Amino acid sequence: MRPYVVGGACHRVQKQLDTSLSEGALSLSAELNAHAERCPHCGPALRDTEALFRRLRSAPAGVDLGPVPGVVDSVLRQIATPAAVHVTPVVQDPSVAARKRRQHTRWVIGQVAAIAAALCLALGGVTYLVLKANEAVSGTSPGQVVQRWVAPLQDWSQALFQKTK
Amino acid sequence: MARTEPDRREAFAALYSQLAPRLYRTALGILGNPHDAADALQEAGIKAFRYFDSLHDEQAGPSWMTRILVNACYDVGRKRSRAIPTGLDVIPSSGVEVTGIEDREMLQALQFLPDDQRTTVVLRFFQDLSIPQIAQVMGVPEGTVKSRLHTTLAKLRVALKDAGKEGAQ
Repeated sequence: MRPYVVGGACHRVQKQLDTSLSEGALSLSAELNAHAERCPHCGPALRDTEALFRRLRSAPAGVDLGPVPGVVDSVLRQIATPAAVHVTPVVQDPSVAARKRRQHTRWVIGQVAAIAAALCLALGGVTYLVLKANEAVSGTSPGQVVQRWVAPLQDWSQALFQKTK
Repeated sequence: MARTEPDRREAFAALYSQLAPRLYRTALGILGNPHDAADALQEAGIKAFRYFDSLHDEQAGPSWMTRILVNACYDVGRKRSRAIPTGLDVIPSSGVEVTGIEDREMLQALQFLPDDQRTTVVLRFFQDLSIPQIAQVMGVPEGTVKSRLHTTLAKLRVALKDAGKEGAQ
């Protein structure tokens, strides 16, 4: 038995059979067909696929269409009455509409909160990284930098406290 | 297009009567039993008539009707799955009314597939719709139709091969 070669006839038959399953139609060139007929790998796969397609195509032909005329008559009789003719207008219950609006508002608030939280986390992370980089360059620890940043605020609050006292 | 009521009824009756056998086969393929298929065909007919004015292009009539039928089939299927057993004895149904034993096996094998896969195969083989037409009817991209067809046909090929082996034993 010859080995399976990528790009060889067996491989091409397999590819064609795969394509035929995606398309729902089998078309094999004469050359590949001739190969499949004598190949012990491709032959059964081709025959199974052909049988499947044949059975799928023949299945609807065997369906008993007995109920169809009755259904058609019944539908045509029903549409002859005015009740079936007009489309019932879809009137939405106000309480349902209000509930839907509330749900939508809650959803929007949730989305905004989630985005804000994500931004805060990202900003915090970036600040920490910058401070770490700064520590590596200048030797000043992140804590000291933050202390320097909040020092004016501390002075201001102390002054305010003194004044109030 | 302004149509008088009798014209509208006549046009609809012509379209529905012409498509009914094809639609019934499709419904049978999707639902797997003649009673539900007839229900779906009837429901689809009434719904299609209500919205018949929204069909502007007559060429699109078959696809439009098929889309309505597929939705009606899903509705009927859902109602059937919600049915509460009464405890009363039910006369066993003869199942799908088809001629050959092979066909019955095929239709039974279809019933084990998920709804969307079964519908895709039924539209391709029972209605002979092309891939773009199926995509239009089901409202999905063509790639999705192809991948569903591939998956489903591969499954069916194995299932029917196994059934054939069991039958031979």
